[in-house]
Amino acid sequence: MSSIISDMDPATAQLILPELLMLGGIIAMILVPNFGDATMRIPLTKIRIPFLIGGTRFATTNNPKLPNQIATTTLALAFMTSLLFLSEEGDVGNLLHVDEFSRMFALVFSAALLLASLATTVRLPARPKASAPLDTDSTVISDAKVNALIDNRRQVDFHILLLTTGLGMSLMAMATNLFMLFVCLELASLSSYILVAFHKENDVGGEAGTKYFIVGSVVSAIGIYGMSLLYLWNGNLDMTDLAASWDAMEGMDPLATIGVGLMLVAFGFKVGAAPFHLAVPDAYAGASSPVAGVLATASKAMGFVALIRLLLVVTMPSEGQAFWFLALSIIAVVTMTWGNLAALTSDNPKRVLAYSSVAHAGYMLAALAATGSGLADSDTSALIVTAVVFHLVVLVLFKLGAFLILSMLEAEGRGHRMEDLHGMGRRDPVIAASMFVFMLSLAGVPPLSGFLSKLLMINGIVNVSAGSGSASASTALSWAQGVDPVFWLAAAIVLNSALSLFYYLRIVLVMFFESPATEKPLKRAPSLRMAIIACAVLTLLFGIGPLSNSLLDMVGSAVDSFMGS
Amino acid sequence: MSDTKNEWGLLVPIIPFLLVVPYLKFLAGWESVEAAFLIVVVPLLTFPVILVLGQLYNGNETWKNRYKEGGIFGLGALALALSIAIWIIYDYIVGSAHFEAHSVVDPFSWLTFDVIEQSGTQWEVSTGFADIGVGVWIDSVTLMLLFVATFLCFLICWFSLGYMNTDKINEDSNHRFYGEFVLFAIGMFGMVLADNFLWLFIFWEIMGLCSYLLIGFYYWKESAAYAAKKAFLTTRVGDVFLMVGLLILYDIYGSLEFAVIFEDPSTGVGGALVDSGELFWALLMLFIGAVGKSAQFPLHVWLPDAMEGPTPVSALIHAATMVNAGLYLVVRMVPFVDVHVNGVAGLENFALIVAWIGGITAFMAAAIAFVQNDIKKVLAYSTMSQLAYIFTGLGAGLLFLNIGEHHAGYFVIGASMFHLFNHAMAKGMLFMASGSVIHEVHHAHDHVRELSEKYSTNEGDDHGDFDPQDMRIMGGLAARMPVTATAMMFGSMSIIGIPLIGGFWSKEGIIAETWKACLAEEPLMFVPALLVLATAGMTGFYMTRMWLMTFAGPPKSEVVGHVHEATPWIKEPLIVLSIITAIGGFALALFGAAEYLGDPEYDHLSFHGILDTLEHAFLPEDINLRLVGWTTILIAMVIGPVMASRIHGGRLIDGVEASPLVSWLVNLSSRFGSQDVSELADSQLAEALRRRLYFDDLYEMTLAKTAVPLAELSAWFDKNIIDGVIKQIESNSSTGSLQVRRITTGSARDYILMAAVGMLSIFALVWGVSA
Amino acid sequence: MIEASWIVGLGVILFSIGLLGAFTRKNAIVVLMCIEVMLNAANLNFVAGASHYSDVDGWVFTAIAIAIAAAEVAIGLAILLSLYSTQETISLDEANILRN
Repeated sequence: MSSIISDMDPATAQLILPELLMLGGIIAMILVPNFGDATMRIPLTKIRIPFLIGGTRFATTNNPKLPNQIATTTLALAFMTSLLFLSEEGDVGNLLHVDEFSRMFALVFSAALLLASLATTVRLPARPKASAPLDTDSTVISDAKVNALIDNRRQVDFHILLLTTGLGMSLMAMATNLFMLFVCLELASLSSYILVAFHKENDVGGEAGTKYFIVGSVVSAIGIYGMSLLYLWNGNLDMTDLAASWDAMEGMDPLATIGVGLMLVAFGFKVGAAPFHLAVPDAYAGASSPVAGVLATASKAMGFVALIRLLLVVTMPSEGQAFWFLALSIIAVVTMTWGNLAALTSDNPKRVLAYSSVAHAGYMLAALAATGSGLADSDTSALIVTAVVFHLVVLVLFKLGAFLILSMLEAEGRGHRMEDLHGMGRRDPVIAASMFVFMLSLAGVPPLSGFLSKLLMINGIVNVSAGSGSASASTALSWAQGVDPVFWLAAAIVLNSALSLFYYLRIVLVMFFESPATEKPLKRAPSLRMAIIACAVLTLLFGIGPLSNSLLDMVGSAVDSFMGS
Repeated sequence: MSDTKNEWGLLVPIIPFLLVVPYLKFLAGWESVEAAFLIVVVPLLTFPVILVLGQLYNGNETWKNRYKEGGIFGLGALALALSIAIWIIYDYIVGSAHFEAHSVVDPFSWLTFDVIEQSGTQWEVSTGFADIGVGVWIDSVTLMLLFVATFLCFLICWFSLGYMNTDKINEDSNHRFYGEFVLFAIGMFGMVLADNFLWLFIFWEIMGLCSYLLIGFYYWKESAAYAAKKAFLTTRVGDVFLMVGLLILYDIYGSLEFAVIFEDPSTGVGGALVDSGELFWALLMLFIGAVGKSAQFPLHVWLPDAMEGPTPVSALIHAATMVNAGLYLVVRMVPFVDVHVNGVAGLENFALIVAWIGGITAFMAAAIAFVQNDIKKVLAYSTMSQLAYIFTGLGAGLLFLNIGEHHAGYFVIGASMFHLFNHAMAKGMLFMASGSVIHEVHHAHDHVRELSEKYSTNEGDDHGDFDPQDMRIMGGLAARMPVTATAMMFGSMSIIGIPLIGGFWSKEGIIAETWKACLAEEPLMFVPALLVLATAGMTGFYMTRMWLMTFAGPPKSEVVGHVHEATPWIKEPLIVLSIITAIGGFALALFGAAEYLGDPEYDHLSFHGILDTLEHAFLPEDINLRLVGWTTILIAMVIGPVMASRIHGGRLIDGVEASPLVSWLVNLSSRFGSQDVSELADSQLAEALRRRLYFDDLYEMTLAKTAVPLAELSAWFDKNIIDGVIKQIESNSSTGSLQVRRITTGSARDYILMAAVGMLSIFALVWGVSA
Repeated sequence: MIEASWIVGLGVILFSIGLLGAFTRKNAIVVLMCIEVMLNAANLNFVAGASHYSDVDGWVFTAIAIAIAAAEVAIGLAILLSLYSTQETISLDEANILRN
């Protein structure tokens, strides 16, 4: 194993430039806010020279907005470099392989974290019991409260965690070794546990963090154990090597099968698949909205990268049905139904979004399951993976966008009950209209991107089961008995989408047809507002027209680079 | 109320609109045809502006007084449309634009569907599945209709500034009026310019929508809401057939583009010969659509009720837009039947159907118009009747063309289009004039009521019973409203066909050629020929009756004494149109308008000479035609008006003066003696006519017997079965939802347990499957 | 020399104990310990694999896994503190404001 350091030539550095930037951001975040007027005496003399670190901090470095600025800049740079070097490909050491696929996900991660970072500008109180400014406060008092309560250190903690999450996620997308994958996953997960518990101004922040942490740790322990079984079986955790052994395996080796099964549990928790998802809604409800948004998008995408690697690279048989096909199909159908059903009567918008995110995981799992049916050739598999990745990309726009809107409500101490959304249409038409777009997109209404991605997934699934269809009504029943199970996956998605309309439209309904408790418009928060509007516009643009076309091309070639390798 | 101050200064905002054409022509160097799409696009951009500004500034004084609640913007957009139309017409007539059968301009593709195509892993969102480009198709018929539509829309919009904005009842809702008005105009402009049947249909439907909105403008009035529904549903019946017709056409030709279809109507998709039977059905379906739009028998019932809308709307529907759409569609069918160039033979039956429908409607509508006392209703039936003339003419023309007599065919089709022009101008003016009458009578009534309220405590005079459209309370208005009386006089003369004035030139041609078709070619044409001839006399009667009841004789109520012709914006369109009606027909006849409009080979207007023209009209060489012509003139000019004068004629009361021509006519009307027709008015026939020959009752009864029970049944089905199922699903899902949410207990232990159980079940499942 | 399979067997037992403990114990700290036990079961497997295949990777994995476990405990205790500071309990059953 040659070390990464010895490979560290400029070309490699360019390959992992976004990650290096994030690392740099973390270091800057640790150092910069500590800069002060401390001086150091040169030993044996009486000359004191400025030492920077320590002492009374400068106004700039003490500025509560500074960590946010650092994080936002870092993530924006990471995003841009990822986009710039999208088609770079190469190995870094022999644990990481950079290609368009991993870059695509780096884009997703950095975009999600960037949005979360934007949404966290000046809204993180310093002490747990700090009171947010009240509606009745005058501007001066409210500003004073904000300034008094915000502490640079807490901001630093939060944003460092954002950056480590990002770093873990994007390294994870490049990992070629299962253990490396797991380590990076843990880096991201551990950071996200803290982020969830970070929302201390809310009584339930600690509880949410605890649950998410305990359940998450248990399942990752299960996952590591499963991985260790795989190691026992193969003696090596390199994924290509594992795949070769898997192909050569005769029958079902219990070690390997159980190992993969246990890892499925760990990844299933990450994507929020039933029945491992139960802590997910609690975590979302307890976390601050931007963090919940990150969990629902970036973290989920991370889980799907792991799943795709495990299922499509390692355990995909060269022909015939994959052993996980039936299990995954059932999980998928249960997940989407569970999520949609639970969201139906939920009264907390964050929980509704959490359950909707569970349901979306179900759709994507169904699509992934179809690749293992043994009916899909490599082209259709690539099609389906394209659809899933596309969905993960656009999910950042409309799912996270919806959470950002909730975070605007949260900034005024609300956003936990459906009533808080009442009359948004009157209070703040632009934001309400954006929420409308997000909800429609989540529900999959054309011409929004949510529709396109769902259509692509269903199309992929139906493509797999193509040729099976009944021509006449009289033969429909016997056809239904004989139809391959893949078809039912598509049917389940369609039925579930219909069900999901109820609760998405309920949110729209209360926004526009209920009278608000207060007529006051929402906080101005210009950067956040811009981000929300941008999300809404892109939700539309990625749904129809040339932009959606080029995004599809991008995702398609990313998936090609992955499937081809 | 009677605000006489000069408001012309308000027109300043429309100047930029008027500068567009000079800019495009002289600075940007556009061809007129290139600018044609602006006729649709500019109003299309204007109408949302009017609606949005109207919502924002509703009630604002500046908005109300300076911008007339959006009317000025509407006027500007229509002025632009008119100026472009005139530019195009100028170019074509003086020949600087090369006159071809059509010109197609495709400024940009308006509607493209993105279709996802997928091949392997490549995704492509491509256009091309149903790329419906929009082009502009211009030929002589388009030019004429374009002029009629833009010119009348402009004038009617102008008129509305006076009519709508001075009425309390319209206050703060006029932006709605102007918005819908402009959209209506867009519908007509777009339909006329469209270069394929699909766009034609789309704009056609826009008009249908706007007719609904505008007829129901006073939606709080039950009768208006009913009339709007009736108009919409009745025309929808035709539209469904029209759609079927378009589908058949698409089946035959594989395209709906004019350019493709008219290239060679005798060969269909893939070079197959077109079967005249199939084409017959396509054309018949299209014709039924036209019948619905142009309010012909048996889909005519909506038109009289459509008078519930404000009077400018009536003018718009009757003269400028809606009813002409049906005629336009029939004219578009000419290439299908014209065997002289690539037409399909064997469609005589279709032509006969068109002519018969026209003849029947003409006669029936004229008969019903005899007994109407509502000034606008008389005009409504007159519209039906006059449109029916045009249909009859078109029917005769299609017949000639289909049997190879293309000269006669082109002539009568040209005459029909010419009649469309004359009728549109006259009818637009008549409606505006009647609007003027109604408006002033209404205001006078308000004035009288104010007085009576001031001087007495008696409140017996209930405003609700007063109908300002009822001719029985008018009479003698000639003295009070000189401009309106003169305008209405010219309009009526044009509609009647008094020699040398407007409609005479075209109507003569239609009747003569219909008789020619009957005598020379097809005995079955006898019925329509006879009916249109009789109708000429009946037209003379009811139009004269209307004019006399309104303007001649002694005043029939005290209201008349308070009428003033004082509202701004109303007179100008009347004067302009009076001039056009009075001499426009003759002028165009001198230049051979009928030939120009009908004959594709007749490519420019040319001066014929007065004597030639007169000789052609009054002394045709064919002795039969000469007979028919003089009979028409006799009954239309003499018998009908004289009979009307005997019943309704009379001098003005002493001491009031009218303009010379009008007072001469009024006095003339009193010379024929008088006749009491009360017996006849009570007869069963009159009653039947008053009930509109029971068509409405018949339709309503049929609907009550068939559609209503069916609707009730499906409502029941919807409420109990479908809603029941949905409610069941909803309650089941809610219960399921609560159950599912109960599993999320909140305890992390349970979550781990569930995960473990899930994990084990997966293993059990996988093991079970593989074992 | 102990056979690798014995070590793996011990791992299975440890893993089962850990998993059982994770959903039977209420005290969050005990659950944290159970998680450690499960991680150690995995570590045993890595060690057994490393010795079986004479592969150094397994040792490295073990070392890193132990580091991860340590980080996890540190984070876990911090989160539990935050739970305790708001709800004054570390019982997983009692911390259930968030549910349904």
